[in-house]
Amino acid sequence: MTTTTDSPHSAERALLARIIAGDERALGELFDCHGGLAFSLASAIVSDPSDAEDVVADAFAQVWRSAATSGAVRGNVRAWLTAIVRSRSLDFIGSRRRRPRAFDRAVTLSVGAETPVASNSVTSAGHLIELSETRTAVCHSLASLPHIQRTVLELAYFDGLSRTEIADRLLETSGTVRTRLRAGMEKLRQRLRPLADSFS
Amino acid sequence: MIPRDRTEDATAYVLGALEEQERLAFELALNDSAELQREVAELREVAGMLALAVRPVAPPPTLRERIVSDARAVRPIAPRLADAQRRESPATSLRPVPMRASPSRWRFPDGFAWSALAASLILAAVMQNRYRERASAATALSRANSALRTDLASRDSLLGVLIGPDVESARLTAAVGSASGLMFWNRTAARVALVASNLPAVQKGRTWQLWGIAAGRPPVSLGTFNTSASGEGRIAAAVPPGLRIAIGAVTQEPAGGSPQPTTTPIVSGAFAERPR
Repeated sequence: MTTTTDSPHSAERALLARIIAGDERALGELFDCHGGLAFSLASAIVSDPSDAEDVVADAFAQVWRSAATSGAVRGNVRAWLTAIVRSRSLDFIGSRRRRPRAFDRAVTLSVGAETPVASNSVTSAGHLIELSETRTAVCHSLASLPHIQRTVLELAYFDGLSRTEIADRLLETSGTVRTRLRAGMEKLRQRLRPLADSFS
Repeated sequence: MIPRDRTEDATAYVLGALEEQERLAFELALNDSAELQREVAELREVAGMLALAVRPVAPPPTLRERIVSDARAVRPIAPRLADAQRRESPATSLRPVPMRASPSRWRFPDGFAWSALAASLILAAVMQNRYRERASAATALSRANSALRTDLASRDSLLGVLIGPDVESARLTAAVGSASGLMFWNRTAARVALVASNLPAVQKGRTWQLWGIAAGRPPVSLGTFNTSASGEGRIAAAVPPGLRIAIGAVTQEPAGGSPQPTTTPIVSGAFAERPR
């Protein structure tokens, strides 16, 4: 999995460079690119729309404050942003809060839906199509996992549960959970490897 | 080839599914293995793609403006050089101040000159403010650099204890509460390291102190340490010659430490007895 230098990603890094230089408009443009994804992810975790709005605003504020020191300008801007949004969302709900319905909002319900991101100079039509295809592949890959492997992955990613907490939740041993997490993630890696370059 | 349990930990690590102690132990291993770092980088890419699996929800139309508006009120860490240069360039050329033709010895500038004077004073104030901000940023960066060096030295010291053929460990647990720790004893290097988590904040004027206790002997101080805001504490220290540590313990003591424990240990744990 390597990082590509095709134009959408180069454009995202250029946006980040402008953010580092203090150009507020660039932050708005980054929101145009990924605000939809960020809000969708926050909504899946924190549930309440106004809470999700606060979380996304906090996440973009963090981008604004710390872009210069993050190293993201040399890497994957979208992955960095989604990691911030997820972290902020889990912080918001309490990282170990039990909330069994979070993963209901995830993959299995969303295959085939449109990705609500606005088009602009950075988010080209080609980029949107690529994003949509990647999204569909991720959803199908998750949906094709054995149910128990998908469940442990979703509990970890969307609910922020530790392996021990997942084991408690599912009445499994911690060893079983660690094996299932690894197996599920490894299958995803094999299936998504061809798409990783386009996502990065 | 990465051992299977390490790959399992790597998966849980990128998903944030390790317990605190597991995470600390994994990060120590991660710091030392380029192969493990590559594994984690690849898994992070896959984990990052999971965000695409959520049901799409359109953000409220006001959110974009809120974010941009908030950004205007907060300066990013990097100095806004371009902006500063643009603003600091003299908007008003300071022409020679025309003086009134007055017989008075004291001549006062006219309205335009007052404006120019006010502009120059404002400009001076802005530049002084920016100088202060940059000096403050430089100081903050210097402090951050110093903190990073200290942290790196601390990690190196911890790693020095963990690496060796003769390292034993003890799990330190609490009778009450969620505090815990992992204590490592490198017999060859005669050093110990403790990685503790969920320690409560100590009161002002007090500190945490690590003890090594040999069977039938009074506790021996191995050093004092403080915790981060998250309750994480680390210490690496030398073991006095001849001390055969059977039990490790942590107590809260007055700042500077005590010759002997004055409080009940918050965490303690025994090293496995060594076959003779």
